[in-house]
Amino acid sequence: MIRVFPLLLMLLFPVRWELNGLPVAKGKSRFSLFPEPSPIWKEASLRIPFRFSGNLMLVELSVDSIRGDFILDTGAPHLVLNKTYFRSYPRFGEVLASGVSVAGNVGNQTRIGKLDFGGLEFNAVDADMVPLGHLESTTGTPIYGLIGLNLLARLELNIDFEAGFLEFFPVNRRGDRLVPSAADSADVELNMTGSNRQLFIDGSIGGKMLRYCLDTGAETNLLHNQLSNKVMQNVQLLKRTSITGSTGKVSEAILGRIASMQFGSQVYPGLPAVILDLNPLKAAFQEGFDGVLGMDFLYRHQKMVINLSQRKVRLWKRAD
Amino acid sequence: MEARGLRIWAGLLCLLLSVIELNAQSDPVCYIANGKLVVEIPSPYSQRALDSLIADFDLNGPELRQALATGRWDYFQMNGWKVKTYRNGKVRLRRNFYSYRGDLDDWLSMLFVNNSYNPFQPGIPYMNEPYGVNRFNRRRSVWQTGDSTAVFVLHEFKEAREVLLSGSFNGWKTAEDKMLKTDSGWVIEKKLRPGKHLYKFIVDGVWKPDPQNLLQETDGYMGENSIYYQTNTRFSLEGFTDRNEFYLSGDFCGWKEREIPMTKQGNGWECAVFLVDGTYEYKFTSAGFWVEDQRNPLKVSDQNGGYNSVIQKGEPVVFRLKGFTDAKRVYLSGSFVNWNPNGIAMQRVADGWEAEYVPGKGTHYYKFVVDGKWMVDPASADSIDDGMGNRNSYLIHEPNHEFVLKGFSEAKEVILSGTFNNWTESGFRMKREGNLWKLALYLPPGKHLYKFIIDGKWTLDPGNTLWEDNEVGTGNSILWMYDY
Repeated sequence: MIRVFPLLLMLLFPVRWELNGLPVAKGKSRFSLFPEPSPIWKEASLRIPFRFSGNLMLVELSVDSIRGDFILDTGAPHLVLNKTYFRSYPRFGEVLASGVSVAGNVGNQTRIGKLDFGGLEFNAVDADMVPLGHLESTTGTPIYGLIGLNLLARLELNIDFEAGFLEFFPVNRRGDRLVPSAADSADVELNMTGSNRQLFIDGSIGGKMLRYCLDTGAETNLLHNQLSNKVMQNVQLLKRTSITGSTGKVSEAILGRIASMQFGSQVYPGLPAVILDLNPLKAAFQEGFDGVLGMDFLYRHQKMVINLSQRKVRLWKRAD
Repeated sequence: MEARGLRIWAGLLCLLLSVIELNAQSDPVCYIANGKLVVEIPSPYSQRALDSLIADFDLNGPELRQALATGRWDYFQMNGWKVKTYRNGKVRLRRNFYSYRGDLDDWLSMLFVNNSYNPFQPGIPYMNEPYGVNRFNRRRSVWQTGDSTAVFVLHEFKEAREVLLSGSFNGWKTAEDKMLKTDSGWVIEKKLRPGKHLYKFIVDGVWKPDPQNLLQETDGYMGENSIYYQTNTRFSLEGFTDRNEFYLSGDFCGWKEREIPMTKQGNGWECAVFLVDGTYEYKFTSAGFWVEDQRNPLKVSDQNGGYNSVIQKGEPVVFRLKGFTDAKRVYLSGSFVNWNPNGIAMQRVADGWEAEYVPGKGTHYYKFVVDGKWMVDPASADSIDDGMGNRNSYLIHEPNHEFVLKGFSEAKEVILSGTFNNWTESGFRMKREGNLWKLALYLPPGKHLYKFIIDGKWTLDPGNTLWEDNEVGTGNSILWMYDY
């Protein structure tokens, strides 16, 4: 069973903007319709528990008067609302198609009044409103939306996978945390590459440097099938699976195991990955990438700190 | 001479090794090179490894074996494989990935299609057995204070600033059930229905399983959820206090002898158990000694000259079949007895046959077996296609949700169809009550999609604002059933 991630759905939007013949800014400004909202702090910092449903991290929060579970999805560039629960919201421009589970559905942009984590708020946040029914069917729980990356732009986020909480910290202009933190050096410190729309980091397989999207909304790791032989020699193929759509069209995916991946000085042996042709995604992304690192990778860590201002990702490995 | 002899022996050894090498079987392999999928079959190859390769990579086994035997690779060439055979008998098959070429939306949709609902997911208790018994350390942490109330106590973490209780009973809410700090620990009373409940404490934002509860199951993510059963049945046995231990056993636990321990209480033994609604047989046992419940008059033969006690949880249903008074034997069979044709023997009454049974909550499918002949219930219009062209009668017992459609008083027929019956079009027929069409069903927790078929026309529920898009653009109504 392959479970894929909200990241993918976000890639739809730029494609559809183009398809609909609307003006599309090139490169990094493509998502400029969604500015980075400013956090309003009610406390010096905020710690909230998350829970898993499947491999998706659910956080309970309020959007105006509607309270429900949202997926923390670093693969999504901005806030996404499930159309099912936000139908009454004003819709701006019917340019964004969704239809993750169904071709032909139309999504919209909207703007919410307040997004409240309880102690941390954002006002007047732009969002996409799309159907997320497929995620609900997968998880068996109501999903009200996705917390995307731009909500994290002006703060530091600590995800403690082991203890099951998120910690939000205010930062200054340089991205330094305002609340002093205990000296705690990370096992891996990685620089983000590319834009702030997705969390891209570099790492290597078989000595070959690759670029990955780090995605808390992805259940497993993905690897592009057309990577060099030097990379593929380090991938043991385990099982073929074909993915059949409702229209009967077939795409191929192979479950494999990567002998060794390296990030900074840290080596990760035996990570599982799904190998498939990522060209449809790469075509939608204007920045190339070679794979996606999902929860199969992240959960080998005790915690992860994301600081978008400093463009840093820090990882602490789990004790074996 | 000696050196020459040595050379001869060395030569023979090399020859032998090369013969062994020639006859050594190698494993076929599958790998990716230059973006293409490659299958390499050496010669000779290990048959077992080939079988495994065929299964793992979904190759056409009969065609592959035939091609290896005949050297004719037409089938594979026609299916996009480039085939190269080597002098040493090795074969290499190579083809492109089956990549999707089309709309990105549809490509993405494919990735979701293979997903299926996982009943083991955190948050939704899953019972693979119809019973549950609590097990705690000496410091018990959950106390059943009534049929539908329990007090949770966290004895540890007295220095914490805030402790919350989160579990399947409150939808795993993370800010709802704050516990009260007392001298004996953090305390909260919760209303709970009888059944299995999963929970954790949130201590200053950090999830913690109950340290005093011995029952845990994976939370699906390398952590553990604590399990608590709100019990609904108390078994007791008088006497036998000279014995050191006693156990409850029955068909609900597969007649395991040491599964459900009883505790010595006064002049006997007792235990509290949660039982899912239904009909069960049981006995008490101690070191190979078995005894029925002497205080329970309901019993059936144990096929060994003794009796099993019978307990029924839930509301009984009386099944009646009118007529057939000439029949010799009539049985009730159905999904609740695994379609055993001799499932429940019906008793002859004045105008036909009758059987009382407690089938448990839910939708049950049944038929009567009259002298070996299967038949639907002639007195019930409620029957449904079993997917193989046969019709079975159905009974909706102790429903927990009523679907109501207002208006459409001119309609001749309204059918309810949804994920709960695989969108069967000849499914549940709704009943007209004045200006309303109604049907009550028992639905498990989770998400249910549905629609009404009004005189053949699929219609969204006009009384439900929750709906989502479907593949034909007409939408499906959504109903969430919660466990709490």
